[in-house]
Amino acid sequence: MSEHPTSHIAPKSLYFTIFGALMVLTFLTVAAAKVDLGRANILIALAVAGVKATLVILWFMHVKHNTPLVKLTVGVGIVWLVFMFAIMFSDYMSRGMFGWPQSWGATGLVVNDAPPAAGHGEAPGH
Amino acid sequence: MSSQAMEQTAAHPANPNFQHQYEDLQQQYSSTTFGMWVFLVQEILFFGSLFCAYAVYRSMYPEAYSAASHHLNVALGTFNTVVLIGSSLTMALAVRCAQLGRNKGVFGYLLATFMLGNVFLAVKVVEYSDKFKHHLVPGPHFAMGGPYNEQAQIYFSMYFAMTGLHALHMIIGAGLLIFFMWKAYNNTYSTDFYGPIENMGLYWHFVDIVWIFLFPMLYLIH
Repeated sequence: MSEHPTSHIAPKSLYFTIFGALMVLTFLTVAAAKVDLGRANILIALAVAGVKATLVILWFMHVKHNTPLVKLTVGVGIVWLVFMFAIMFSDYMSRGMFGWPQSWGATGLVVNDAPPAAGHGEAPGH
Repeated sequence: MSSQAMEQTAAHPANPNFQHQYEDLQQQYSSTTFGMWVFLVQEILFFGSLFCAYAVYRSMYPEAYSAASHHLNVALGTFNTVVLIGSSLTMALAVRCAQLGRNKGVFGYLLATFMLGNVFLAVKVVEYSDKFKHHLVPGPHFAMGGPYNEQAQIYFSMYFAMTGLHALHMIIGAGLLIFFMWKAYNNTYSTDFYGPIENMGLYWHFVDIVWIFLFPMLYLIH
C-alpha cells in the first residue's frame, strides 16, 4: 500500500478554533468600522481582512503543513498581486491623478481642476 | 508485463481512481493539488485586477465611494460573512472526513456547505433586488441623489462586477458540491484517495477569502 498522501490530519478542534478566531475578527472589524478613526479605518479593515485570509490559507487550505512547492506557489501568487498594485499605483500617483501625495487629503481628480495650459482657450494678453 | 507495470499493480491492486499517467497515488495527489494551486494563483490575479480597479477609483472619488457605500446593508453583509465562513468550516471538516476515508461524513459536511452557500446566495438576491428597487443600478435609471450621483455609479459598477463574479464562483462551486456529494455517496474516497475533495476545499476557501476582502471594502469602509 502507498503511504498517505499527507501525513498530517488536523484534529477537529483546530478547525473550530480557527472558525472561532475568524468570527471574533469579523465582529471586531464591524465594530471598528462604527468608530470614525479617519484614514486608520481603512488600514484596520484591510489588516483584519489580511489576518483572516492568512488563517484560512494556513489552516483551512493546509498550506502550513504542505510541500515547499505549494508554499512557493502561494507566495508567488501574492508577490505578483503586490506587483500589480505597486506598478498600477506608482503610475497613477506619479501623474498626480489622486491629488496625493502632493496634497494629502485632497479629493477628486486633480488633473481636471488644473488651469488650462497657456496658449489654449484664452487669447494671449488677457 | 514490464516490471514497472507489475510494481504499480502491486502497489494499487484495485483502486479505480488511480490514473495510469502517474507513478502512484501519492504522485497523483501532489500533481493535482499543485495544478489546483496554479489555477488559484490565476484566480488571485483575476480578482486582484478588479480589486486594483476598485482601489484606483476609490482613490480618485473617495467622497462618492463613501456616500454610495452607505446604501449597503451592513447587517446583511455581516450575516453573509458569518454564513460563508461557517461554510468554510464545514468544507474543512468534509476534507478531514475524506482524509479519514469516511464517505458518509464527507456527504454530510458537503451538504451542509451546499446549504450555507445557498443561504449566502439567497441573501445576495435580496440585496440585489433592493438595489434595483432603490434605483442603485448604474445606467439611465440610476438615482442615488446627492452631489455624487454620477461618480457613485462607478462604485455600484464595481459592487455589481465584484459581488457578481464572486456569486458566479459560488454558483459554480455549488454545482461542484452536488457532483462530489454524489461521488461520496458512492463511497469513492479513501485514506489513499481524497485529492478531489481537498481541491474542492481549496476552491471553496478561495471564494471565502475573496469575500473576506470584499466585505470590509464594500460595506464597512466609508
